[in-house]
Amino acid sequence: MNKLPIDLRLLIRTLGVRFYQENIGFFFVLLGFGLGILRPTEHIYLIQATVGSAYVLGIVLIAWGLFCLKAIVFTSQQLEAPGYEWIRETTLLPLLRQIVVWMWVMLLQCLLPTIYVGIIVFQAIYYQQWPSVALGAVFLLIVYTLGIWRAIHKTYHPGTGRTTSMFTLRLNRWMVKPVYLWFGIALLKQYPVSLLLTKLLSLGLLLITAQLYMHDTYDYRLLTVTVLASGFSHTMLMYRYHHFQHISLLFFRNLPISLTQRFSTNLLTVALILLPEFAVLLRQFGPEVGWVTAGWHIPLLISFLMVIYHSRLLQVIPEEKFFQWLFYTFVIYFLLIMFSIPPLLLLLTNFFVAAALFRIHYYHHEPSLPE
Amino acid sequence: MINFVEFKKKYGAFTALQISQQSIPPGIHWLKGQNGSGKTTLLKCLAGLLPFSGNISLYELNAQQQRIGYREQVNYGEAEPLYPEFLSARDLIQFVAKTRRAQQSQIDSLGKALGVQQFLYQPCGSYSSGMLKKLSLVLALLGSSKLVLLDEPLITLDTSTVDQLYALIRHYASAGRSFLLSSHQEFPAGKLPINRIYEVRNKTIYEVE
Repeated sequence: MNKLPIDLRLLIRTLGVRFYQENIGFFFVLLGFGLGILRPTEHIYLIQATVGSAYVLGIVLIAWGLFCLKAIVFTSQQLEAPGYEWIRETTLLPLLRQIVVWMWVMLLQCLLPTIYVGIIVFQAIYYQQWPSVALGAVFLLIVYTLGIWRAIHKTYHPGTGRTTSMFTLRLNRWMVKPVYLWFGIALLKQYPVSLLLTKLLSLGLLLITAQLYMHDTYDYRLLTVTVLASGFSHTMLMYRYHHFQHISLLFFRNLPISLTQRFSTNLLTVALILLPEFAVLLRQFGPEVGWVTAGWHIPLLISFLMVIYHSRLLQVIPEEKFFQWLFYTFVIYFLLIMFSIPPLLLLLTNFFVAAALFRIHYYHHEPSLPE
Repeated sequence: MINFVEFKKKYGAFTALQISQQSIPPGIHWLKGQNGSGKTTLLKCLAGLLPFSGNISLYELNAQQQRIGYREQVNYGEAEPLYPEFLSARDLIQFVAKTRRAQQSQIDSLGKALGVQQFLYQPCGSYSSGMLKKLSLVLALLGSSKLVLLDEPLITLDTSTVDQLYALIRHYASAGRSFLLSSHQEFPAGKLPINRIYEVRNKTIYEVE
């Protein structure tokens, strides 16, 4: 990396590496699905099916398109974020150099879709499916052009599109936003693509499992493992919540609010984020696994998110070590579920761990250290 | 009023501040210091925003042990405030006012004096740095805490608001509130009577004669 030019090195560290750090939970689930659930031969069959059917290819490209959109939005938001204004200095570079620099950033952020779509294109060439070749190539061209254009446009025109609508003003006059809604609104306003992708993944896992229950007989553990995966797919959202609480709302720590009130606000915030999952759990699993079992999995899902969120209070440095711990935690949970540890015990342990982490570390957490 | 005992603030292995024993009496005080000397860190520790070792107490309230009671008595205004873009000034003011049990009359008078009423319903993302500063000052003055910490209270404010702020500080000080103001700018003696001057230097705090 040290051999790269300084401008590129800085952008790769700031936007490329950071993108992967912030989306680590998403990548865990993606890798778990890609390498754990699907075997290599199934990947080849899937790609062959993709090449042969415009419909399947469309679905795959839309899914990867959303991923790329997430990367593009991430870069745009970083360019607007306080402390990142220096990136706008790239406008001093010659235009061609700017394009090359942003193309590298895009390549790093969209490495997975680029490789995947690249394989599809090569397969399509092998099977002489020219429409699929064209579609794949156009997809990559559009994604890269959009990403590069958006980044360059943002560096030249920061702060554009920040007008206040009449609706917002009327809404602000009409109501005071309760504190437990703040993070949900932040997600909708500032991270809509992250939210959408997380929900697609989380709800998708639940719906696929619901289909399995409809067609075969499984015990509750399949549902518990799915809830675990669904919970861990929210890791990135929980990190955003941590950042929101401890950086964006740093002044909260100065307010005379008890730990119980703070913990309750966290609980309510997390529960509101999980409302779609609750609906799917009750609607899809109630009739199949029983209402009580489906019902137990709602607080269990909340408890997983509470553990992930409050574990961020542990100041583990370097950060990579923290992600290793998180991965091992996932594996341990998986094994515990496979060995039929009752979900109720898991649920109580999770809440106990989350509360203990919060009580011990909240006031000792150093919010200003780099994360 | 404020007592430091074996206070130490570290960032990892780096010691940013170390105060073995220091007392600050009630009043309006000016905290000076060069860039990077640790003024903001000191104020943030006093406000309970950053963890530290040792002890800080305000009157009889220990910052490490009586966390809620201590925070009830200390307000803090940031040097360069930033708030979530989608929140309006009213959202933030109402929330802080509720936690600090501030009266509606105080909210109205502060909002009027510092000119926040004009943009009360606009989202923070549309604010200029001066508007953000005015909002942070309103939040920092809400309630009836015994100590108000203001980090660079004058920056980005227009001259008329600066005068309003001086008047508010004088008003609250006469009612028994104390102020610790960090600033690189001089406070005009005629407008704001400073009781004592402190300087953060060599990672500790000294009273300037």
